Amino acid sequence: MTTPPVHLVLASRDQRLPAAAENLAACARAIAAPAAAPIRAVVAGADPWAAAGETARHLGMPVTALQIVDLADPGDGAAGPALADFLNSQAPAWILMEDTPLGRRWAAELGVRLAAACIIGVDAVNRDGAGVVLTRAVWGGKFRAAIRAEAERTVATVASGAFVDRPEKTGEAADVRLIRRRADHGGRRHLRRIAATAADACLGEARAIVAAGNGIGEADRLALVRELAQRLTGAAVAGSRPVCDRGWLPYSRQVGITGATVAPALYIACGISGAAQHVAGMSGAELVVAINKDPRAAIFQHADIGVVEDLATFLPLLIEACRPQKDSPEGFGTPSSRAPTRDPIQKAEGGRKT
Amino acid sequence: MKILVCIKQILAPESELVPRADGTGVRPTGPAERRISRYDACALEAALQLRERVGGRIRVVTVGPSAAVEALHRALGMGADEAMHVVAADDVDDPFIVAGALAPAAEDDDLVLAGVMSEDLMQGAVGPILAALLGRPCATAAVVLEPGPAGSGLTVEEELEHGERSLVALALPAVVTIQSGPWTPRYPSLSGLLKARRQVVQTLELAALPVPGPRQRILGLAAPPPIRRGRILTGSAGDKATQLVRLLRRQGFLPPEGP
Ligand SMILES: Cc1cc2nc3c(=O)[nH]c(=O)nc-3n(C[C@H](O)[C@H](O)[C@H](O)COP(=O)(O)OP(=O)(O)OC[C@H]3O[C@@H](n4cnc5c(N)ncnc54)[C@H](O)[C@@H]3O)c2cc1C
Ligand SMILES: Nc1ncnc2c1ncn2[C@@H]1O[C@H](COP(=O)(O)O)[C@@H](O)[C@H]1O
Repeated sequence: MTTPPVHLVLASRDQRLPAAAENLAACARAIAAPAAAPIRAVVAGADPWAAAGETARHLGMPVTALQIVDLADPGDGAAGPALADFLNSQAPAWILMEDTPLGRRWAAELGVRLAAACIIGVDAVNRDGAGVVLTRAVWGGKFRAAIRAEAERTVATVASGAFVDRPEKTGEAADVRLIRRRADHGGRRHLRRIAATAADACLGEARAIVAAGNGIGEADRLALVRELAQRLTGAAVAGSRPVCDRGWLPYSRQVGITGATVAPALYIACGISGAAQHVAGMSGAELVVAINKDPRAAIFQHADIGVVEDLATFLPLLIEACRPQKDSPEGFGTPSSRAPTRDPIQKAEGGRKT
Repeated sequence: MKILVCIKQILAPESELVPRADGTGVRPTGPAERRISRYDACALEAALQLRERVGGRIRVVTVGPSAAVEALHRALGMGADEAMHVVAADDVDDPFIVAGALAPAAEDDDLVLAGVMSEDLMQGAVGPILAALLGRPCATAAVVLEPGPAGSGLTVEEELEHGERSLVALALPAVVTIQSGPWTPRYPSLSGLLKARRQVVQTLELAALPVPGPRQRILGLAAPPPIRRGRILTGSAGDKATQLVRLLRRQGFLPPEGP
């Protein structure tokens, strides 16, 4: 009896190697290793032939191009039923796809159609005496959960970039075959794609970014974040999603997977919990400072300097300390003695509500 | 339009939580507040706004321990018309069990709304699985819902990656998961809350429903290893501010000292 394969599912939007290919392949190798399970891939899309060829060449594994005729958009997902039929014929034990909105939709549909476990956002593969243990983030990144799949088959979405590794060519002549199927729209019609709100150019140019999170609590406190940014050389203000949802900052200033990706020399996260969707947008920063009142906040895992304090009291102290003060010898004259004499919120007018 | 909103009650993430000894989840170290998961409150708000435009009724449903009835009361207080509680011994992790318990309840509804993900488990799985079980079209991470003329369907703007969106048309009945964004959940009125307490919540026992067995199990929870070697500043708040400023000045993020 041969070991059931690990199967990658890739969506192709163009002629190139799908962006997730290497990450999924690395995850598949971690799962397949001890049993030497074969690894294969299927590339689905309106015109997947070239992308499937690239995948076979890059990953050195047999690839099936699943061409879906009538697909309005590769992100449309109308390939679900065709994928389920195809995968059923391959009898894989593991099915891996990228953790994107489309990947999650496919994973749910395949989970139901193939009676498989469905594990979302896997970022590590380990093993214990009883088999494979997958890890994923829960509670906004505060904890990671170790999970065992208990069904015969498992569909998993793989967190972007969690396994990236150099492509390992086996040198085998990898074949590509083509299967053609009609799209099954099932009551869902793709109309059009809408481009992202362009990120504010200042986020790309800024040497430093001061980012406000939900922890700022009220719109007025944004003025403190603005004031801190003004003190720093070449700094801009950004926000987490909830802050932009509330209209406290425009969406063009949102950092994260559904916002801007930034890589400044300095990123000061103020009252940001450190959810993966936010961190993905700022992990390229050189120096990360996190200010949060919760010592267990996930953001501290991603910070070089951590400050466990309440923003309402700490930001005024920090702003005060930023003043040029040649008269105060180092370590003395901490601004705490001065802060209570001024009302930081009254002083810092200009906190706009949009 | 008949709308079903799936809400999950979670331990407030603001409370201090530690992994349970048996590894299955977390427990609060102090008095625990439980509340409606953020995206589900947005889903209910979306439903309320849809009802204001096209009429109809809103039913809320939760699968969870007996304490979860509080979440239903709050949802009724916000304006839902009916509530249903599938009572479980504890919080339920497996998305197929949750979706399997919700599916029969959803049979008569034109639209099922769920959160884009739960704040605790963050799977984003229950909505799409429910759609697949019911054989209905699905849109995820919706930020705009536009009802078609005469209840003919729904146009949805859904989020993709990197802020890109797609516009899709769904035939009803359908399942949509709601992303945060334009929906700021309203506060329940006091009179609404008082009325909600007198309202009958339909209850079912999860154990009595024909749902499949678990397909996955959480073995344990742990704090993640740090990605960066974070140095936590110590001392008084003022000391920390001074230390931080000194560092920022050294690295050239502040103008050099003094005029
Ligand atoms: C599909 C999808 C895409 C997403 N895309 C993005 C994205 O692009 N960008 C993004 O940011 N999020 C995104 N999110 C949301 C993300 O999952 C988190 O919910 C969000 O990042 C949380 O924002 P936050 O940290 O500001 O707020 P919270 O999670 O509410 O955290 C607030 C933090 O502030 C702290 N705090 C509270 N009060 C104080 C105080 N007085 N002083 C100091 N600290 C305090 C708390 O301890 C807490 O850690 C997305 C979610 C989904 C499902
Ligand atoms: N126990 C539950 N009871 C009711 N709805 C739930 C439950 N668990 C999850 N959901 C719904 O499914 C969504 C996604 O949850 P999850 O798949 O766990 O991320 C939530 O936002 C809720 O709308």
